[in-house]
Amino acid sequence: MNRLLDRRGFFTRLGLLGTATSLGLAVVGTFRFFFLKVFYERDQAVKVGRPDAFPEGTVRFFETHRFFLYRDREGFFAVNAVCTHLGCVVKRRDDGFGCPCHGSAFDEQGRVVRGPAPSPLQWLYVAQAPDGQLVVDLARKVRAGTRFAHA
Amino acid sequence: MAARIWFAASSFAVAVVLVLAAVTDHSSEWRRHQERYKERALAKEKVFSVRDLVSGMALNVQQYYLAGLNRIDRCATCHLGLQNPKMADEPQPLTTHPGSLLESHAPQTFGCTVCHGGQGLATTAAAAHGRVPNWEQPLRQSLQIEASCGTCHDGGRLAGAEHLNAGRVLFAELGCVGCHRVAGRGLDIGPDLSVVASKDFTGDGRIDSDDWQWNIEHLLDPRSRTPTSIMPKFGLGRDQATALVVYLYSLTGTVIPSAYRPPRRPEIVAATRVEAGRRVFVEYGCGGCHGHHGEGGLANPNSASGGRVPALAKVKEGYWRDALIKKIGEGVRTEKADPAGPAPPLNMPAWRGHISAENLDLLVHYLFSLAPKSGDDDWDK
Amino acid sequence: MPDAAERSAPPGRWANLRALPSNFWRSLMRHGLEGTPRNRSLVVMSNVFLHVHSVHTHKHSLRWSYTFGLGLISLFLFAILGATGVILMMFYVPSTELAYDRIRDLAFVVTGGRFMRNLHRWTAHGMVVAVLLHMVRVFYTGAYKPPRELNWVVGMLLLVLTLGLSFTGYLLPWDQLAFWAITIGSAIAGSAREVTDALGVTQVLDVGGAARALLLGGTEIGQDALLRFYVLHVVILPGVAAALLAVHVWRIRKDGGLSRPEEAPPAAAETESAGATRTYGLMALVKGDATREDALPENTVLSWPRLFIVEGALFASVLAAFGALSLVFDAPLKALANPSVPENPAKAPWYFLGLQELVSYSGFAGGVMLPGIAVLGLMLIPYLDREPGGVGTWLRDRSERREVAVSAAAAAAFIVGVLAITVRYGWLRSWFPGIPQLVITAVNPGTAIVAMFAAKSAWSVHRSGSTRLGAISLFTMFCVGFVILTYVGTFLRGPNWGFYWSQSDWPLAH
Repeated sequence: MNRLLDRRGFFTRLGLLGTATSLGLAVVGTFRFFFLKVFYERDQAVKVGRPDAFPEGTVRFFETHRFFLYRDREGFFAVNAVCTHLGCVVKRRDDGFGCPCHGSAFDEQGRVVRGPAPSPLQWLYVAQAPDGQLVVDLARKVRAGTRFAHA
Repeated sequence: MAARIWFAASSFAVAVVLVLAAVTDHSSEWRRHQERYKERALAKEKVFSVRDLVSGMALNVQQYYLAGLNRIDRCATCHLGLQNPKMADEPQPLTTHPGSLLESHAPQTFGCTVCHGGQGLATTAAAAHGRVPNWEQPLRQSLQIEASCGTCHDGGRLAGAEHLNAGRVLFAELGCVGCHRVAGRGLDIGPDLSVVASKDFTGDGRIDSDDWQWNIEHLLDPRSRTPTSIMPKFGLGRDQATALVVYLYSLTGTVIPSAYRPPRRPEIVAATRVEAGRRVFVEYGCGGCHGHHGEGGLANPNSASGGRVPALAKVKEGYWRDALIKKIGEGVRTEKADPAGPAPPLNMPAWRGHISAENLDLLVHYLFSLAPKSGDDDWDK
Repeated sequence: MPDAAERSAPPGRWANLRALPSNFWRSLMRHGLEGTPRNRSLVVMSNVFLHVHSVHTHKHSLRWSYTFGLGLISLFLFAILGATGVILMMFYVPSTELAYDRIRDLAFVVTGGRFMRNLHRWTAHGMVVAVLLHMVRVFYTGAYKPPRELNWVVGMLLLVLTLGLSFTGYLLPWDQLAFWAITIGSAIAGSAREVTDALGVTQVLDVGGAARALLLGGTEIGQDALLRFYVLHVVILPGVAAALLAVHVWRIRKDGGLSRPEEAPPAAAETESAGATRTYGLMALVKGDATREDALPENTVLSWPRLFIVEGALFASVLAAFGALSLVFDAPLKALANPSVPENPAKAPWYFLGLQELVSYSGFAGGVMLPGIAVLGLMLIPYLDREPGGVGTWLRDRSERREVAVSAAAAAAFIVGVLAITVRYGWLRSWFPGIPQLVITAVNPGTAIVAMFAAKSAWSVHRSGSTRLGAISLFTMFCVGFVILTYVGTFLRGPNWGFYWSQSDWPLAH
């Protein structure tokens, strides 16, 4: 066979290439379409109130945003109550947390003690907003053990 | 041949199933109630035009479409006689609504479920009254209905709702907002109570009389229901606890449109600054820990002040007014009596930002008035 | 301009009107009604709906014990689901505010609404069962062998779509059952994070997070998730399924009708190389011989009316059976979805409970990796087992029957053993608390079971030299695994996914 393309073959292939390119772009563009620039959801950074409202030794569960806020001797920290396994809400027990869905258990620090959870409960970023209120950012994870030390 | 017999039999089986589906759908219980209502109402009615109206009534689901409240109540599908005075001696579901409440609360405007709870959409008694699984809010009974009044009538006294009134007063006097938030007011030491009536306390998936009873017992002795509770035992009588629960069950979290709100009455202005200060003391729930009249006494184990929340009767001796205002504003971390022991559970919260400077001033007036009268240095006059 | 005399037809001006019924009838039925073979062939050929069938049906294909009508039952259930689904769409509103009330209202104010919803729900469950059994039938009768490999693959895609349709429909009532099943389902979609987290590359390449966001339209299950599941359930998945179904059915015709044993070669030198020639032969017969009064192709009957009567009867039976079921049992509906109170135990629909059992060991392995391997493995069966023969009978000889029994027993013993160890003693993390997650993802009861399956079937191939026996071993073990794991997930798992012999042992408070 002739190795050189004749004119018909060339344009057919060019056409196919063009079709493939536009199809590819259309698919990528359509895929991107499904990811909103911002989700129709409540703010991920939650203001929880002034530090004074949480005396040392406080453990508070924020039901709608699903996290625990702690204040101990060293400062504030927040632990996400969403199980790292499959997203159920953990419950606080005497020795840590337990998940009702697949029996994962975590210690007080959120480390996995038992069950299928692949990673420890997330510690969330805690800081103080300019207005003096504490802010917990659900979208921002911090290393376990990180505390916000309130003067 | 066998295939043809099968074909004939199965196609008629489909027909039978469809007929049965139609029959079960048609033989609803409300149809029987409506037929009976027509029969009884016509037997009692003499006025021709009313007889004409009743006899011309089509048998169908009746509903109150309450656009303002965003709900639909179909209770009148069975309770057809609720606005017919002649049906007063009929048994349920045809009987007349007792009392004169419907005159001011027309069901066409208010519906039924705002007061009675239950499932307005349902057209079977079991589902409507909440005796089916997975319907979390069954019909409200007796005092629970009185509690419903408080959902709209959420300020001041309401004639005829004595339990609710008593509960509301107790809620204020006991200083519940010192620890609990209600509709944005109060602190976050205990759980938010803004929607307490919509919570399932017994964990059985229903909000019913069991939860009501649970709350009464919990108020009588918090640790009998929640062993880890730090809530004080207030030493209430059962009547008081019941009244408080009536008030608590008015807190459903239901958003009431302004058109449905009762008219507001003007505030009563306190006669003296001390009296106004007393109102601040009550309103901000100071008495929750320090006692109704600042006599102190709630247990606070291992605190330096003798294991109890300190009394306020002698603040006048210990503080200048500015120092006291500062102290209330900043809060106090309770000192441990035994440094090796556990931290005392109760701390004085920081009130700055919660109480206005003006109210704080009034509060200090009241606190100073608690001092034992010696009569010599009353510089306030 | 033509004059009046020319325009009026001789028989009189009312003739056309008088002849209208008969002319219309003749335009509708283009052939005679006498039961001649010619007419009976034309009924099938000249009707767009019936011509999916061949004019002649092989007697083997009509044998009840061969197919049990499972493919047709699946198709009929899909049709019923489509019809009831469109009707339900008239009342359903995909809004978190209204969805639950609208579903409740079906029972209260929509005439026949309760029946319609029950029918939709129970046929959905029925279709999953029928499709699975259909797959079992096709496998054990060797019907995936050439030239039918592609149709087996299409069938696997249809199985996945059936499960997808069921799963997306599960969220729509917006009750507790739905909400928590979808919480778990969408977390499985996002469970690739388990691996990327362990590798520390989630910041750069968050496949799990993207999959979850694509499915939910957000980070949580809310209005957007409901809307996406709704669109998937009522437009995208049914559309794709209908298109694939058309391919599936069309391929049956193109591949020579239902699979059947090779016939003893007739006198004609027609069949030299098994499949292809036979197919063309049949197609030729359909067109060429249809008008011949006496000669029917070997071992066939005319499809009209025999086949259509059977199909009609089967459809009526399916509809009557599921209709009766819908009269007696109501579709479940739990309390309104509450994102802060998990159901305990939170269980997916029953056909996913085997998966959920695997997921309780490792989210990624049980939810993505193993199901992926299983579907891929099943799809590849016709390309891995190219052994000729054995088509058209349930397990052709003793060695195949023996293989089924041995594999089933081996799989059952191994799975029960692994589950017993897991329930009694826990798994790696209970023994080595600091163990890295990647090890658990790779080595857990689920992967152990699948590895055992692969080893056993490889050993079968090695020992017997027969790929068919290896395939039989693998498929049998897959079925046994599906049944046992589904049973455990459905009946033996209780609150906190703990192990309980009976629901009466469940602790009261949770």
